[in-house]
Amino acid sequence: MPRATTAKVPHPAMERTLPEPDAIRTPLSSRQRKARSVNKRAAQERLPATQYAATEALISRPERWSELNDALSDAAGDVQDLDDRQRRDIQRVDRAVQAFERANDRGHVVYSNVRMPAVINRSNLDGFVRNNFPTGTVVYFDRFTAGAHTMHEIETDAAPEDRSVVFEMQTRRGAYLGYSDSVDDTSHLLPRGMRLQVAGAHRATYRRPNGTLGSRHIVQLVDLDEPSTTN
Amino acid sequence: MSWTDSHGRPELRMHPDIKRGVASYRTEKPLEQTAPDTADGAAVDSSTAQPPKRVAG
Repeated sequence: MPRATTAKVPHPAMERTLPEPDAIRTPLSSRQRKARSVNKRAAQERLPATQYAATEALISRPERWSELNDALSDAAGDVQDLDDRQRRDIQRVDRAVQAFERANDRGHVVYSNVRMPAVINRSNLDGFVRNNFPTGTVVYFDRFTAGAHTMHEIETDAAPEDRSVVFEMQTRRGAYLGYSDSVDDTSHLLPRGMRLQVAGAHRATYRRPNGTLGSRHIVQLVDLDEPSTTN
Repeated sequence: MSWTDSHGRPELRMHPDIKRGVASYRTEKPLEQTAPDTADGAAVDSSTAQPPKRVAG
């Protein structure tokens, strides 16, 4: 599995920690987005053509995303079981993500949708989450995971709020692939092979850019493999 | 005008359907809450919504 290559955080304030359960999750500030965008562009500038092409294909084409991630799931994350072309492209993305990690000096809180089984609905979602994600449970990602730094960006009919939850993940890892403050886009690519631990589960409120509020079930996760790198 | 790097490549951008997609994961419960027959953990492909083998708790 690719190892973490995160840069040092120059100040504890630049770490991002999980919000309190009753805190309203708000969009990322303009200053935060600008700073992350600067680091993103600096990292892209240094990417070799092969890593750029492999990453671009993975994150911009849903069919490619499914193909490579399904292959990783079938192999339980072991790239040695994949064909040469898939293994080569995945390892190029691994190295690209590590380049983004080296260029980043901030912590992240990343949100991703998780769909619950078909038998789950509004009336039993709370109990299902409590039973399946008790504090201390370890969650593994064999595949690449996509998400965003804000909750409103991952709203979708494919993960309706009465049959899905949101993973709220504190980590230093992955690649910020969002934009600066001109576009509502704070996308983030997490590396394959991550290990996170459940820190809590509850319902949480979030604010959209237009000021309206939304509410989702959240499972809070903390990265188990991130190095302590604060100066 | 859109930003391009010094190699003339456009800025990397994630497809919105990928960003909003569902994550796939495996879980391993804490030891004191894990029944003997689930000690290896439960695999959940969220994209196909397979439930864990057993719900502890």
